[in-house]
Amino acid sequence: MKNEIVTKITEVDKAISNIMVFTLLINSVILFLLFATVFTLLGIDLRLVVIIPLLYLPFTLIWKKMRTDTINVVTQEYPTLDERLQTAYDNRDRDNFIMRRLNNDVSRRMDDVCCSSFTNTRRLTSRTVVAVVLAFIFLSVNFINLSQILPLGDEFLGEINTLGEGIGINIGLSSPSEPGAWESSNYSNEEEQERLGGKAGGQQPGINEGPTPGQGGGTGYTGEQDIFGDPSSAKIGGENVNIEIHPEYGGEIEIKDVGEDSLESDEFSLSSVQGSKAPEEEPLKYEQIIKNYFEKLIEESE
Amino acid sequence: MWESTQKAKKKTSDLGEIKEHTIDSKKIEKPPMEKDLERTYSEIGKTYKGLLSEMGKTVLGQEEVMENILIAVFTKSHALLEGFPGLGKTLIVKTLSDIMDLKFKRVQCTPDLMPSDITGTYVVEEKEGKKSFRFERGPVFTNILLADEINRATPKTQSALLEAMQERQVSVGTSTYPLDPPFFVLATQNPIEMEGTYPLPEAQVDRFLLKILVDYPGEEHEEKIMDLYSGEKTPESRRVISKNELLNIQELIRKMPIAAVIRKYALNIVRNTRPMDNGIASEFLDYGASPRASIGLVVASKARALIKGRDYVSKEDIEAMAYPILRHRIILNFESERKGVKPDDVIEKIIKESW
Repeated sequence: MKNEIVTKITEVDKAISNIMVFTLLINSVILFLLFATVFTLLGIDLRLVVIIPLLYLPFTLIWKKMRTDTINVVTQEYPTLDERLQTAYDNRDRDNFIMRRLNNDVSRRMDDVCCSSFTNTRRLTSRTVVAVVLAFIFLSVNFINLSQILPLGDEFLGEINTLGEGIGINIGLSSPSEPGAWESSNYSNEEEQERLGGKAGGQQPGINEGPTPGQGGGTGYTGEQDIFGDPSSAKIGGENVNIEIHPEYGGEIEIKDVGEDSLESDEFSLSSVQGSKAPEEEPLKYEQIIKNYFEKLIEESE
Repeated sequence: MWESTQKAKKKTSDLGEIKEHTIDSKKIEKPPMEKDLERTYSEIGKTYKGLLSEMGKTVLGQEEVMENILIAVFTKSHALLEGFPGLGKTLIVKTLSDIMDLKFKRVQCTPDLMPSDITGTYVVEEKEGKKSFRFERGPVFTNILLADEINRATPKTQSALLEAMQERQVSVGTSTYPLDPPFFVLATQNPIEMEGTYPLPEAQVDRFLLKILVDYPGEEHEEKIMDLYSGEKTPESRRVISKNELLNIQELIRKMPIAAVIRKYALNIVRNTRPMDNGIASEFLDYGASPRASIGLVVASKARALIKGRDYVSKEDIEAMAYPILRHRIILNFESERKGVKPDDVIEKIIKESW
């Protein structure tokens, strides 16, 4: 009978531990989603988010386990067991007829103890709802590049970048204005810059569109210039000239609103063709035209 | 067994009686059989109700006092009853001895009462032409000793009770005589007449487990008392439990389990009466309770739990017993006395502070 009390307490202890682990797991998920959302908004590397629940879960579990007194938890839920259970448990090593009677009484009352009564349904439900809501927010943030909408200053983001560099992590944070800055650095004037977007389907690059046609879509802007220079511009005679490359010529190109006439027309038009395929693939009949074109350009520049 | 022992004792000479008595007490002190204890335990509720009901035939409106006296008896301890004259203090103790089949002696304390009047003395006896000293036992050789108005006796006489109360033995000359168990001193004192009184020294007061305040009965009870004692028949009490049963109950109390948190609570209460740290004690008290109070609080709470029919000591038991155990052990400071603060008020605050 003496062991029966201890066994029952152990069973309750296990149930309480399971409930505790479950609650902490939900908390960890909430933490993960919360920080993941914030990190995404700030453009910080998401791998860092994993550290937070990984630290939170074991430490909180150990701390809570150390602080949780199973007897107290049971007696809080079942006040009639309060002093009886405390006494029976504290005197579990004693054996006399008074103890036996007390143990019988406690054991009988412990049969009515339901493990579900230790679950705070309201709290668990609210946390689950919070987790679901955060999951939606996190997914939404990943579909829409909110960093371009939120008014985050360059200085603030710059500081975070500096912070990341300080701890040896390349956070890769960019300000919302940075793509524009990149563009303007490659074009001599605004008109020239706008023309590029216009050719690609609008005056300015779209939300899911990269700063330049051919740069690709996505929520973040991480593009860099390669060794071949701008992918859809050519510098001729010291001036940037917009060019188009036909899709059938291969490569990643923007085909939105590209002059359909040039694709459908059999006749070669100088105005519609500003880029060309490899010279060895040009028909011979165009050779003279191209030659004349470049000669004309040289004359004009002189 | 007890009756035959008593008869055998009467037949013997005084000196022989004492020797025999020593042997008998050893027999009695043998631990009771587990079966007997279990039977007593299973009937404790019934026994307690029987005791209260029988005492209630003669004593009305003093349930708490009767409960506390029974607790003192069950814990092999002594109690100090304080109350105005005519409240039935002596009657309660007399009734108790009747229902328990115990020997009862009463000493009316006066300033000229000598220690030998309590403990006994040697007298010269002539037998067959030879003179010899014979020990004439005093009233302390009994089961229940009522020391009426104990604060009227001189400190010397009061001190004569010290050894009997603590060691349960009496030393006269070079001889030591053990007292027959069970032995209790139930003393009374009058709080209003201070002239010609000798307040009990702290050391002696500490030996009383409980200080029980006897208050006026309620109107309803007083009316019944008037009818009861002004009629033709005087109420009488019958024996409810034997001496052996009483000894079994005393043994049972030691077996009562107590939770660690409840024991800690009792300890906190007693420790908080000591004005060492900042707290209620330092504000109201000069001296606090001794470790004897801690032991007494736990034991008395165990007894209360037992008579209330519980298998465990409750917080409620500790709180209820804290008052009679601590009220004579704490000494109020001058400021508290000036303000008219009562020990029970301070105890109440300490109880609240201690949980």
